[in-house]
Amino acid sequence: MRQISLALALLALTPGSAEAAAWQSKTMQAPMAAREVSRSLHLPKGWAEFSLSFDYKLATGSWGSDGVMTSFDNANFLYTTRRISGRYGFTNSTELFISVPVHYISLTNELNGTDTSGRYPGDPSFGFRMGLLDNDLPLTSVVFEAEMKVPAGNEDPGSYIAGPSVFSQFITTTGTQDLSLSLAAKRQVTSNIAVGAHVGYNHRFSSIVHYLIELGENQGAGRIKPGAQTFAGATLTAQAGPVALSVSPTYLIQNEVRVGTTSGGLSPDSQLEPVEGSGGDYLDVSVGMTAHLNRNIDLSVGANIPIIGEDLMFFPIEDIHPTYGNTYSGTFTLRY
Amino acid sequence: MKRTLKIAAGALALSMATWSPVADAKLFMSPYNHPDFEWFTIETEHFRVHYATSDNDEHAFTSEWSARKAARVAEEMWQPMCEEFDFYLRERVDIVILNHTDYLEGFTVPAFDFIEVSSNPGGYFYRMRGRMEWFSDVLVHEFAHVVSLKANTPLGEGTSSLDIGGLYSNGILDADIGVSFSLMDSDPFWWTEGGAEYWSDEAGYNWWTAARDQNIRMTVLEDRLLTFDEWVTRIDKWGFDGERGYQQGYNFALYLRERFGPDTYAQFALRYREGWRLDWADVIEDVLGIDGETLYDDWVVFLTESYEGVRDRVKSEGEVVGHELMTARPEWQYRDPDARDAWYGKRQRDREAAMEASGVFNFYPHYSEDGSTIASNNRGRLRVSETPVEAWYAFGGRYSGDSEVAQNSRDNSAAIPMEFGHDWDFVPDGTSVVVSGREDMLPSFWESLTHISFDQIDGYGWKELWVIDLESYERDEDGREYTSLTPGTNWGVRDWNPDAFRPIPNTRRGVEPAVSPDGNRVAYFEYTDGTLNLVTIGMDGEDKQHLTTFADGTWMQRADWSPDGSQIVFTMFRNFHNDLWVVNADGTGLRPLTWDRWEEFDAHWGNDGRIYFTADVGGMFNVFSMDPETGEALQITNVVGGAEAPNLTPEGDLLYMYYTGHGQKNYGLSRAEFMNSDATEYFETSPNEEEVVEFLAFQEDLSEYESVTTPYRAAGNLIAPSVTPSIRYSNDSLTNWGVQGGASLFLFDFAENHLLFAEAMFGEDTDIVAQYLYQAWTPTIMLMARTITGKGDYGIAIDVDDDSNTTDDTTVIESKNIYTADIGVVSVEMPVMGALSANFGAIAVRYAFKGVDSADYEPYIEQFNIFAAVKYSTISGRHYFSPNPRGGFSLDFNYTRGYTDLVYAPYGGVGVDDGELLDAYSYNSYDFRYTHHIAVPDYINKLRGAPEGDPTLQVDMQVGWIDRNVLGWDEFKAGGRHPYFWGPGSISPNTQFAGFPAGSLSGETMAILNLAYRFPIATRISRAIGPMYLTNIYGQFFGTAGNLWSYRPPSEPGSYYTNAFDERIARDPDDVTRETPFEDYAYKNSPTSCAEELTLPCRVLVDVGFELRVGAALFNNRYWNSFFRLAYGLNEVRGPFDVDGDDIGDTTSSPLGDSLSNETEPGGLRVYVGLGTSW
Repeated sequence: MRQISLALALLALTPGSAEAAAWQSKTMQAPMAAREVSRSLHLPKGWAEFSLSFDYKLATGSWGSDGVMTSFDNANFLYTTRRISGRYGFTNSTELFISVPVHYISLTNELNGTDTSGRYPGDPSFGFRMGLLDNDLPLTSVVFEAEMKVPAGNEDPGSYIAGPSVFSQFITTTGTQDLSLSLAAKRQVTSNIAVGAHVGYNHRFSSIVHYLIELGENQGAGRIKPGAQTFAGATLTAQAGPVALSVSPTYLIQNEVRVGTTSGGLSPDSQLEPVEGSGGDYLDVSVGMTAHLNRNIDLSVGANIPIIGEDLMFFPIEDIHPTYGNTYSGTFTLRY
Repeated sequence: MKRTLKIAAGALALSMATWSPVADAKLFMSPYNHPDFEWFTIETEHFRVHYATSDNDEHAFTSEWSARKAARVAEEMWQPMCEEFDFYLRERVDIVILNHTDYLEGFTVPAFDFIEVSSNPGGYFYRMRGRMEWFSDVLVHEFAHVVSLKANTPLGEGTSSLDIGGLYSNGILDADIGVSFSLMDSDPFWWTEGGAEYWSDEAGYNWWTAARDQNIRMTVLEDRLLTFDEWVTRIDKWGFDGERGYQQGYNFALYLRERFGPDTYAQFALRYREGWRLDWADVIEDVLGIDGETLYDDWVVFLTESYEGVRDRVKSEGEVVGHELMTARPEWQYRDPDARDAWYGKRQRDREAAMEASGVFNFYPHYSEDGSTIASNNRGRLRVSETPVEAWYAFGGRYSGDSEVAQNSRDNSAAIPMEFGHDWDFVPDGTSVVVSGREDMLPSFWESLTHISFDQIDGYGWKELWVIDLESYERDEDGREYTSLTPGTNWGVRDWNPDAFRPIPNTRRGVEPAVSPDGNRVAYFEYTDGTLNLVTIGMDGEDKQHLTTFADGTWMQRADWSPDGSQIVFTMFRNFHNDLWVVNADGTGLRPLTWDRWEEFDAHWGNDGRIYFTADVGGMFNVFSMDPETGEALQITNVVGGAEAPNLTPEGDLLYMYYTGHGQKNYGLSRAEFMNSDATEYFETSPNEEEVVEFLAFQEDLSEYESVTTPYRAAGNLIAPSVTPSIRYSNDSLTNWGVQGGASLFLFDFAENHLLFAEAMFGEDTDIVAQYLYQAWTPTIMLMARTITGKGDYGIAIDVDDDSNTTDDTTVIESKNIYTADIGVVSVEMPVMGALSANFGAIAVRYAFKGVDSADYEPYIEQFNIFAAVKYSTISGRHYFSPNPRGGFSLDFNYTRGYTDLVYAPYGGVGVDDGELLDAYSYNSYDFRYTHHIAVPDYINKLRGAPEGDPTLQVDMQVGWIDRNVLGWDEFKAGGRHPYFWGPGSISPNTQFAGFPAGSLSGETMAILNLAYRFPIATRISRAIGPMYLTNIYGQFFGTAGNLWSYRPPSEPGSYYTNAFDERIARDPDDVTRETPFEDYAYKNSPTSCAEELTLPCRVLVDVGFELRVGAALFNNRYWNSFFRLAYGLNEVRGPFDVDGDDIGDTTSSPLGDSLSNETEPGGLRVYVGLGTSW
């Protein structure tokens, strides 16, 4: 009942004929396709979009270092993420975006009688998408995207004194900044079907982090440089009336993590050492459905299904996760 | 490891930037709150018009007619304006009518869907634009902005810009480099403002008037056109140049219309909206195939040929212009080759300055009846001098030079306050004048001395008529005893006799007085709700009579009595008619004197019985005279510029205001030189009586708006939200940098009763702030909440054997601070009181951090402060963005009653500072800053033999006192800060101790004196370099002397003990002694060698430096000021944590017992560069 009330309240916020001055629809707005299959990969000029999303993942096992999935016997590992995102059509061809996540994570083990859970900020990300090619009828959209992920999340596992058994918090950040550059393309091939592809590279900068302690020479917090990621994927979107269905496999190659202590000068990474076996490949498939209640409101649900993976030797930090399980998501998008 | 934590906390405290309010009070209306306003809203199809009424005892007003008229005009213009761009607005536009002010206002913020206009255009508008249908003119102009700029922008309106900036600090190289800029539209001044005039023309609401033509004509003929570089921005414009930008842009549009078609200007907008570009002007070539500069040159050639033809025609007819009123020959009227060469040897801008020296805005010259005294309204001052008519070259035929007459003229001169642009009058006996003043025009001696006016608190400053006696004051100065119309000074304040200034009762909102020939009554115009009416009143304020009673936007200008006092002539603008009217002094017999298509105004009824006035016959303003009985008219002048505001001297010569490219000047024309050509045929003086009756009876029916008027609600009348996205870079160490991304939101209601500013920046450091201002009460109430979560790297040098005498066993560990701070502020800002501003309030701060082995934030410190701040500043606002603020000073006093409680559990909730254990404590903190920008001679250019500029000596002094020993958190701090450290747009003197590391100096007593000598290197550059417009460059030598002193722990063995962190703690707190300023060295700031030998450099720290300050604009519409600063610290300094800039805090034990201050930085050079960060 509470969810219904919330939805009604949000509907009440959407523009209508009796809109307040502050939320008027503006003449300068570029045209916005009503259906997902016809929408550009960047938000048209002048449109603002706010979305609330919820991710749910109950890990049922973990990848082994050999890429074989092993089921948990007694553990329940729950990840949920609430995310507030904003997009704005800054110019005709450039969109600005930002996303701020908050995580709730719970790890219980009935056998051991442990129950660790907590709510933590995640790593916000922001950036822009620039249209390189925009054609209508049929839609052809090619965008360049630059995204910066910043380490605002929790990087303290608890006291490291006496070893990892005393950890009481979940880490929700790599503690480092990432700059991801990618290209994406979308082409509407029929009135109801569009295909797309994306390819990108995520450069991950190094940083001193609280979760990494240099023990050999008592040098304090260690420095980590997560492995750079290269990824590519494809998307197929099919529209049926106000509903769009999509499927999108993504293949990701992650380089090895390097750790150590900071070196002076302009290259603080120079004395970091790679951690053998910390790189690997992933293949996930995302499926989703988006329903357009009207031009201003979308409701989306989706699932991310891991197909291939392996243990990358680091405990769960946001996006270096070795656990296995489907991620289910729902998104409410308000646009004006 | 405990020491590690201790150091971490110390660094934490120092790493937190101070909070500061992020928004000011009223941004668009006057800065005063008006709880007496009752607001209403008229809602039409495309607009909402908001207006206020007030039943204030002394300032009751209504804006109902103005608002209804605005609604009517707005709806009428909507279709034709939108049609020009084929851009039909979906959004409603809000118009706010201001009627509590007597001054011209009109602006728009298109992205807010917001127009604000005053009902009252003030006293000068018609002279600039040559028409007086104020509402249609200003509303169409502003709405043209709304449509054109919306149609033009390639940016989404929800964001006016993308702010990008960063600060890179390298502590090893001692260099701070900051950059700040905004990606935004670059629509140029000429197109924006000239376009608004032109599109108003295209929409049928505007036309190229004689006033506009004389502006451009004289600008061209006197070589004052804004260049292609200059006209892109309104920044750095002075004198007539602002208005030139409007008229050049309008005229250029007319030129392009003839050459390329009427939609050319609109096409520029539609092309620019297709994609943002670095230089807006590129669209010209895209649209027309010709680059903008070539077109500009073509246009200038066309204009020059056209206006030279006009000039030649006037010359051939016989120019009748007279001469500027001067008693000494001006440089430009050279009579020999050497003088000519000297004149043209000057830079053009120096020649322009010389020609503007006699004033740019000189209105309404009058001579007293006895011919002894002349005065004119010179830019809001009545410039009076006792100069006989024959002393002027224009009448006497020779320059009297420095003769006794000229000396007497200088002695017996005065500059009396009055209102800009309005007429005034002598009382017939010549001993007094009646002027359009302001109700609080004459401050008391103390108000003059202090620039503090409590009269301003109510937020009203209506115009009012004043009688001012021209008294003689005895002067004894410069070895001479003489009498003068200007009193001497007392404490720098003119010692006017207050009894000589008398407001005429019952004349609020009255302007343009004319005194009756018998001196008993004054005719003037009284303002009410967008309308002027003709009124007469006794000099004592009794027996007020309204001679007209219009309530429909009728506007009037300059009245004058017939010589016998039986009639009054005046100008009336009504229903798009602009004629001279005459009325009997008792209010009967209102009739038009002229009834034609010319603009006639500035009527003066001469003692010869003729009415002298200005008319634009043939498109050029000349003075004419007319016999009111017969209608017989004569042309008096025949000028190239414009002849306006005629008056006769007692001898019947003509005084008038001549429009030149260098300003409106007082001119004289002897009667013998009058042109006196018959002009009767030009003027229609016998209108159809029925037509006149119908004309006077006409009243526009605006009653339809009554039913759509509702009480104003703030909730439904918010501006379109404005979000500014930002990206910022910073590094907290050489190996750790971060990027923040986020946005700020700005929201207020159209009555500006409620204002919200919020900003969220996410990154390694996350900073979220929300600020609300309640402005519907006389003082402003501000609430602010802010939360900061930050992460920063640091290194710690640890003395492994805890022996301060050994240094080779030091090890460095690296770590990271993660901290959070929650801040709440409530404050009350007092109303504006002239130069004085004040606020008080309370701040609560809670601060916590995580160590490397902490799972949760550990509360570290809690604070609750009550503060009061008083600022007194005579520095004018226009200096805010100037690289050379000059003149004026400011005094800032801050008092804080602070309560601090260190609650960090591992320390047992106590901290150590200066050898004293500190738990919760209260303290009083006082600090005072004095900044003065003193205009001084230009010694440097004088020595170089170059033209002298406008150098400034800047004195910047700061003293502070905290009445007890406090933790480092609460101490005063000093050291060089890059302005971008405080974020974009920070402007204040930042040169204090720039030679020392930021925050390296601390203490409970502060005394710092910074002196800077600023001088021009290149001024009025006016060059566009890509998207940047360069205005001027100043150099500045500076130096600082002073120190901060603290408390000192005891050093006698047995008087202290050391704790687990090797901190020295006094056994008896009384042994912790306060350092005496200038007698003691500052143990926390000076090297340990000072403990052994107390030299002067130990007592006083000194730095010197040089700075280049570059004034500029970026993308035509925003200041973009930069600097390059070198500062050299002459002393070695110690300071808390990381002073030497290697990002490693030295925690090895200090023989002085304060491990937080154990780093030293030798004297040396520090470099600061700021591109677009201001200073």
